[in-house]
Amino acid sequence: MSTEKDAIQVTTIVDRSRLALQDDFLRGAVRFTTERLRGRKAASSEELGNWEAWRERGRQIRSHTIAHLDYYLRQFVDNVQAHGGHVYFAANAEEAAQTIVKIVEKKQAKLAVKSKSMVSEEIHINKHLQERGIEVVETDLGEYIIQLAGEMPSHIIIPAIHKTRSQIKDLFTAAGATNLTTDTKDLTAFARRALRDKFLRADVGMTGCNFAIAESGSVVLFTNEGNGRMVSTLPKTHIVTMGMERILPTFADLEVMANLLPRSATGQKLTTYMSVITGPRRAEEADGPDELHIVILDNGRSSQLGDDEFQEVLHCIRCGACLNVCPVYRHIGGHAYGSVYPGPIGAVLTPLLNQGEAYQDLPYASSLCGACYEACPVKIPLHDMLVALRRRNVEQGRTKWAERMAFQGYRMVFAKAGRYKRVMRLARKAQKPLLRQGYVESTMGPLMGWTESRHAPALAKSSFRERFQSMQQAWRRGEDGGDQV
Amino acid sequence: MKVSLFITCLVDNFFPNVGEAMVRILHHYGVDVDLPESQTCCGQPAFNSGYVKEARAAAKTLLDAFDGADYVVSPSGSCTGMIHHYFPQLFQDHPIDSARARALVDKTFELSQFLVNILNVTDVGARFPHTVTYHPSCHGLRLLGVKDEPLQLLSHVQDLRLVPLTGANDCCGFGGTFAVKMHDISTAMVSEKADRVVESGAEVLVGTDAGCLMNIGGRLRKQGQPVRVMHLAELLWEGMQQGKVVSR
Amino acid sequence: MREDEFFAGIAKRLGRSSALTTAPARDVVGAPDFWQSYALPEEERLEKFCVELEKLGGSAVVYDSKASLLQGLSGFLETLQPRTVGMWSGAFTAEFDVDRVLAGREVVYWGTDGANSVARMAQVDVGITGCDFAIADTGTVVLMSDIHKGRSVSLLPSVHVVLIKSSQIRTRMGEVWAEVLQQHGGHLPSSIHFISGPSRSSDIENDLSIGVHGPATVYALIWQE
Repeated sequence: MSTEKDAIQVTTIVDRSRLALQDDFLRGAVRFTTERLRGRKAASSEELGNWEAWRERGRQIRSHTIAHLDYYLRQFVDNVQAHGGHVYFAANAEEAAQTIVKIVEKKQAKLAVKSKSMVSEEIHINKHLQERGIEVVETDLGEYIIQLAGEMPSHIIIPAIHKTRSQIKDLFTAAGATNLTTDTKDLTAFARRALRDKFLRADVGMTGCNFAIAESGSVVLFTNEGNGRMVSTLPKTHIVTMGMERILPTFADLEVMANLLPRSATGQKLTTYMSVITGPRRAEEADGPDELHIVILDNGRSSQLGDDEFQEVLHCIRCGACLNVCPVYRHIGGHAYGSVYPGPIGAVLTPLLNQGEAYQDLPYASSLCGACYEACPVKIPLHDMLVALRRRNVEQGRTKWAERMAFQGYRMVFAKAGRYKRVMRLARKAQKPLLRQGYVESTMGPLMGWTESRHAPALAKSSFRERFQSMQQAWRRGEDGGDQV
Repeated sequence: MKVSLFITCLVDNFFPNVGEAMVRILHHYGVDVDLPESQTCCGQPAFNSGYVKEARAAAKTLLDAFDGADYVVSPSGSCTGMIHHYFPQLFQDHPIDSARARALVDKTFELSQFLVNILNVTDVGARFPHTVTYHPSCHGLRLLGVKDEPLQLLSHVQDLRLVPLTGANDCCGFGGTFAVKMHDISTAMVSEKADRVVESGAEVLVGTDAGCLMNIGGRLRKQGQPVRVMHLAELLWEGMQQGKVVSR
Repeated sequence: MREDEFFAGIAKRLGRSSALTTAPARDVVGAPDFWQSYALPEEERLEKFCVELEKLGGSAVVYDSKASLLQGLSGFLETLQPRTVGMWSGAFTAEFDVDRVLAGREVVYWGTDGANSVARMAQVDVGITGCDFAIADTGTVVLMSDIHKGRSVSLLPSVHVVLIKSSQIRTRMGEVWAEVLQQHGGHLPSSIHFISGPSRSSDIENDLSIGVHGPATVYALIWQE
């Protein structure tokens, strides 16, 4: 199901994060951006008030929708078709890409413009179109930058988080800009000019879909720059790619998501543009696309339906709030995950959507601190899912022999208090050669990673349980100052 | 009132002083304390790594140990969180044990929760004339909802100056096996946490979880930083003794 | 993939023999009650709309008559000196008598250039539109497209001037949806745009820049009826 497998199978999250940890600019930029976004989210959710009630409402709506996805998706599709839109169903990324290529080729299109969409990254549509000689231009400023750099987004909301303004200046200069400074205004003005020309010339516009409204067959896009509007207004053909779970039953429900999504993503009350598109342009209208094509993608999503542990991952509204609070993402950034979706949601979603061996190590890139769950506007228990994915790895025999042995040993020792006490007594003796001034120094074995950067405490001379009896006796004799009852 | 200690394997073996301070505080309030011998570990290291059977074998020792207890009190938000958040699920397939697990959830408290919410104590009569910063542990904070209790206790300690810790709610990078399995990332996390503790200007770092304190303290010591790292129980008990001296 | 297989797959995963065809019962729909009862009085709605729009970097000016609004618009164009002005056509123009202050300027009325409409609007400096609703809570104007109300007018020029009647302002988004659905049923216009301030991006080192693709200036002139 995955086409990215080959690219990353050779490396692990450990290798990739080690590289990322050496990139000081990246770490500084990620820290700065995520702190800014989470600060803005906190301020804007506090201003709204009743945030927990909103989250709960968000969860209820997503939960109801996904539990009845067959009904609401059907309703959506019928309504799209009633408005003259075309609908396609893709079982996997390859099918989705082929469907889109066919539409584009049928239109004899030379140039396609895109607004930011994670699902289009998931199906690698740019690669497929470019292989057929079709020019594809990313028009979100951040996506444009990383497309020029030939990279992948490193954040769901701010894709070029890892690029400096001077790198951006160089990329724009290579793309034809002259006399550019590193001033944001200057850089933005170049992108506006360069992309305006593309918008007006493009044959096909491609967008994702933040929400699909069942009651009307509408596609809803939340954007800030206006490129989403350009892409869905100017080219003759508009192609929407959406995950099958993007559905909301009604516009009343959209109001809830419109309060949750922008706040959680960027701390805005609402994005600059919320565009609600229902069918292609009407016959008499002078702008808007002649044709609207909607490609609905499964790609591993339906396998989560009916699964008690993982169905809720389909509730995700792709706000990126979990990235911004994740202490692991904070230090390694998005690329180290090696997947389209980074951060805690990526560490859960990626191994679920890709059933193969690749990415099964992502769930270990978490200290299980639970910050992601706390930040999630629809209350997805990501920390529980990470544990469940690790359990699945154990059940499917994916974990290493040494680890399995270690936990068998753990079971032997910790299942019976008598054995536990004996082992701990032995360990206290065994540690003596390793002790330096009361701390353990270990230059080999599994503890090395710890002791390289931290002192490791030694086992105490006597355990608490050995001391406890004498404390109790002293207390009974009234010796330790406790107020007697 | 009778309390059974869930001492946790870390405190039992590495930090017995924490257990001792905790017992002395409870004694001070006339609480009768016992330590059921058959307990070992809540099973979290295995559970969080995906080894459910292994986790259950250890967790079962707690069900056995605390069957007859009125209250179970522990010096760890993380281990208490494991009981609250995962035990019912861990034993869900066994009708008897699942009932025992639910009963255990209802009577198990982290120390600061127990002091504030059950004993209704916020002022333990302690004096601790030092600058202190507080690291709230993730599991205590998020799995268990221990937010204000430690701060309430600290705010009543005489002469204690509590200074804010930047990014206090960010994980210190311990995460049990995470610190070993993903040690590069863990190191980055603990380094930042330790730097922020130093920046806070505090003489003492206090927390409610031995795991996190071992991690941050280990880093501070490696860097030769003179910050003293204490469990809340240790700080309160030390302060209670000073408080007593002053009031005499 | 075939549509029927796609739906059969979903139904099966959800434990049903075939896809659900009757509307499922719902415990809750839409926003929490406290939000649904959130309604500001008219004066406050107007004020809130202006405050919120200005927070976003837009400008809002309130006029007590149509004549003074037109005077304001005229002054604005005087300052700006656009080479060309683009505008919605149809009922909107008549309602506001905008023509009166456009004499002597080159005006592109939407839809009068047929297939060339977009290309012409792309050359325009200032786009003037009305709106169907405005939302106080978020400083938003709501524009529904039709033959006279092209999407391009509020999108392609670098300045967007939107003329609003105070009676069009609602407190929150949900009210707008309720009215839109009442007016249109399931047959919505091809596009409805909720616009809150000027186009923005923070993609370059988190530095805010205005006017990336859409208008850099959004100017709301409000006629308080």
